[in-house]
Amino acid sequence: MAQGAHRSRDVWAGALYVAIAVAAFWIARDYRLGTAARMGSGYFPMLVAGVLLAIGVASILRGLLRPGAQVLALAVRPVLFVTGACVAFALLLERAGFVPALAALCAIAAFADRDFRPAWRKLAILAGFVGACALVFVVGLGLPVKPFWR
Amino acid sequence: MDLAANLLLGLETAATPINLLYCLIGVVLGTAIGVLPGLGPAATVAMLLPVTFGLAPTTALIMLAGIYYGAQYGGSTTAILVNLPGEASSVVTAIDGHRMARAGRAGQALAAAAIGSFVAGTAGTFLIALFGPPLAEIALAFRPADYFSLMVLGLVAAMVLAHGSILHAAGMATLGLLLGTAGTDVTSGTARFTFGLPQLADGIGFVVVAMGMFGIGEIMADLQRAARREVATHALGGLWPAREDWRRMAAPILRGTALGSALGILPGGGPILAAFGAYALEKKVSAHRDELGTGAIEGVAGPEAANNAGAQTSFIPMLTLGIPANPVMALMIGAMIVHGIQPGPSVMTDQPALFWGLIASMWIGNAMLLALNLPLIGVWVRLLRVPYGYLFPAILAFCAIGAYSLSNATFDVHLMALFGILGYALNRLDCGPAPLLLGFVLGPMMEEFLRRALILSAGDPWVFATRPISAAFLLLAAALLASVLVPAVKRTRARAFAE
Repeated sequence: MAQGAHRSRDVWAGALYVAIAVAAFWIARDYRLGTAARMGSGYFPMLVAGVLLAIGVASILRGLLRPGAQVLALAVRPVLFVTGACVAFALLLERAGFVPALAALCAIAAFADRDFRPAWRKLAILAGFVGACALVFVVGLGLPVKPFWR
Repeated sequence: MDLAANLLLGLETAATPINLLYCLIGVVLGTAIGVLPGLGPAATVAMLLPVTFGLAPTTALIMLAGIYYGAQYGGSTTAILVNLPGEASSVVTAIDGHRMARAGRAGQALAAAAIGSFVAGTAGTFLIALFGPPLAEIALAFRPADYFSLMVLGLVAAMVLAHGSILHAAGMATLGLLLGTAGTDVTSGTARFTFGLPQLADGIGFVVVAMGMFGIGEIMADLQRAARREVATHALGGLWPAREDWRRMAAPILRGTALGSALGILPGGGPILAAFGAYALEKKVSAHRDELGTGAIEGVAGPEAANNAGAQTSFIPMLTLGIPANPVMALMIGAMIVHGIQPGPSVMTDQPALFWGLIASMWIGNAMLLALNLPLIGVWVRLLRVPYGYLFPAILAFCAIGAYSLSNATFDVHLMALFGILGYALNRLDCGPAPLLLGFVLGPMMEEFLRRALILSAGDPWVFATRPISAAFLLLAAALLASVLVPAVKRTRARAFAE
């Protein structure tokens, strides 16, 4: 294995392709393949998954032999908080209403920025923003959600 | 129907108060969001797509088109003022544009961009009007095998013109194809890759994918960079270009328009390739080429004209053949499908008012951009001064609300977040997401055409090589792929994308 292969972009991307292709093969294993003249529902997905597998393997091989570019650094914080914000919004929207859901999204998302320091002024801006959105989307555009939980 | 009559019909349609209003809203909203760092035209269009669902089809498309080139112009504004291009096509503008801004000539740079874009937009509108109908005529002779090969060509072209290694562009396109198969198979009624979830019965929404990968993923990556953005607080300078500027702008704008129009039609081409190509052209040909890179107005006018021309002509394959040339066109096609319009050559004959109205509105929208943006520059500058820490939660909020509003399903918000993670992962792997979105939108269509072609040929795969049109497309695709391996082309690509 060449130097730096373990962080090679080609290896990781290739691994991603292979993983997805194998998963696709597994999930689609029961779909009817049919023949070329009468394609079943599994024909095209299997074909594409096969191509993806081939590309993945080629990529891994290339990465192992000639590492080339490295994977860029991963930062967990933005991913965690941005995803958390979206999930919170989705979970709260129909149970607690638009205002709490949006407030939760903004509050959680704010922490995704590592330079964020909570401040009363920011809380006020958040309240103002959520209120404005509620007016525009729920009242104005008629988004079919309750503003609050009752 | 001749050209004049068509354009007249188009102007009549586009100039109704409602369509004018939504064109204006689209252009302003598009510019406002395009100005925001981290949101390129694709993400902007994806984000505002749900807003258009309640509108009549023609109005919706007019607004979306307005959003598109509004976002292009917004990206250029950011590139000039802050040296942070909102999208790849603005990278080139930033080179000379920001230098001009630092020299106190931001106003002239912005004016050059607006004027160049307007001239290009006018030319582009005429080109579409001129070449659209003949192309649609030709396309009516296509059979399933030909369409399939055309789409293969489209994907290959998108891969060749994509940023980064061809192998990964191919991987992205293939992954997109695979994701496109999720949902209920139209022919057999089998549910594929739905994990038993009813929300996935109609497949994964393309807006969700686009918002997730281009919007959410981009936010995650931007937060990591935590760039301290300094808006050019230098004097804007006069907004009206001097006579000397007009003289120097003229030729680059014409060259950029010509090059951009040609490159925009290529699948995977469009504004990005056009802008880079125009800059390279200016470097070779311009009388002031040694000034390029230090703040020459040619470096702004040429690429800006090219990228707008490219953006307009990339509508041609979309409107005539139903083939998306880039992710934004893919979104437009999706929007058409949502409004019940089947994209393809029949759109021109079945819905002439929509077709010509859209074309005419593009010219009107460009005129609006020119008239509005110079006075509105102050607003954009103020918008840019808002710290990213306040901006990104707002962007996230709009994306989440937008995703929910597609089918009133919180599931879509979860899905969008998932694609955000995927988008971020791909960003770290330096794999451009554009081929994925193209593959995703083309996938179901390709499968359908493949199926029909094979049924017609009784299972014979050689039909793709024996039908002349199909063979031509496949040969072209092969030639494109082979050309990438040629060292000279390799170097040009590497240089172009490294800049």
